[in-house]
Amino acid sequence: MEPNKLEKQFREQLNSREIKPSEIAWDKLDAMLNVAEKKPKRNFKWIYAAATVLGFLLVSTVYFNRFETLKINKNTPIVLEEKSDLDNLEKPKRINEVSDNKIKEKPLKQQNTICIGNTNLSNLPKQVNSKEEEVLLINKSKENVVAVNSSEKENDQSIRRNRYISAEKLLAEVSNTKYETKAIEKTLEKTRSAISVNPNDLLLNAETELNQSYRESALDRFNKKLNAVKTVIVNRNYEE
Amino acid sequence: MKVINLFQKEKELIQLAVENNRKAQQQIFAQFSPKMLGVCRQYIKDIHQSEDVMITAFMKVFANLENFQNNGSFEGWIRRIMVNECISFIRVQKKVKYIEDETYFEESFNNIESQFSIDDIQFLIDSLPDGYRMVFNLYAIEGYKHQEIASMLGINEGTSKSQLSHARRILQKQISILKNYSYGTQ
Repeated sequence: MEPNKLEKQFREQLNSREIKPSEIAWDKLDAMLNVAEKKPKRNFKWIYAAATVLGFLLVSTVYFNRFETLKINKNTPIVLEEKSDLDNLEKPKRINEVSDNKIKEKPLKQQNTICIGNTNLSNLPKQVNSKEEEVLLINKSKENVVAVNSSEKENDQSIRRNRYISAEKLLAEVSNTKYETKAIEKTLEKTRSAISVNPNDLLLNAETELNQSYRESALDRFNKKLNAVKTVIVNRNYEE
Repeated sequence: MKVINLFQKEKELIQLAVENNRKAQQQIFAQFSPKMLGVCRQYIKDIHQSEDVMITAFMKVFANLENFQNNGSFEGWIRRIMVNECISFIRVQKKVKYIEDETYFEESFNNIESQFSIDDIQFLIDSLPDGYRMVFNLYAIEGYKHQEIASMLGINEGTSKSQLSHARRILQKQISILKNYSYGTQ
């Protein structure tokens, strides 16, 4: 398969051959070169620089957003705990209200009937007595209203207390049975009252500290790279 | 000293052409276009088509002139661009199909002892089908190896060898026809 004599002859003759191109050949090429020159040459260096800056920004946003997602994750269970507390508390509140209403309505009705009975009886002999009875009735009803108001206030207070009350105590309160607080629970309550920590504040503090430390480290790295690039450019310029 | 001056001149000319100096580009075109049209004509039968291909190849030459390193020959660099442009033109225009035949014959024209004119040589090469002509030109005229030809044309090395042997057989037949014609027997 080696090139032979004839092929060598072909090569020599073809390599020394010249064909003069037509006169319009250069005009064609000139026109094509003019068209190519008119097209603005894109400076790809700027595009690369922009791409690197965008990439850096993307990476940094991803870094910082990672902590924000953690923050959301930490917040959700706290909200859930509060909800569960409220759920537990709402039910006894309703029961208390119902039971209290029942309790409070009964004596009022009884007193009214008694009062009415009294008035019926007293209407016959004297009118003055009836007036006295009316005054008494009004006073008694006022007392009842006050009693209802006070009981409502007590209920509210109990609800507030119930936020950190055990299930057994709640049951005891609902069933109007006496509840003896255990020594352990007392200490627990004491500690709860003593340690008053806002979890949101704690989380915020921790996040800000973390963010600051990461930003500082990222800035340090960026500064180092920038210095390296500067030195390289300076060296290159010096060499040139 | 003359060689150094020429080299310096060529280097300066290239530098000017890189800077889009139209006169320098015209000078390069005037200097190399006759030879390069001959190269294109080896691959493409039609002279007008080969001239168009040469012009587009020169466009590529000027577009990539800044990538030319002054280590090798400038003419050789331009020639490679021409050959590649011709190959891509034939592949796009004619959609050459290579027969995946890997059988080839170890034969040569050493028994043929005759001188051919350049027109005869061109006639003989033109008688070859496009695929055979490309392989023959690349191997026998440009001096590429079968491995290089295979990667250039996107074929197997064996196919390149078989194409060459087929091209040689056809050429042998054509030479005998040409001899008989020139001696007035046909």
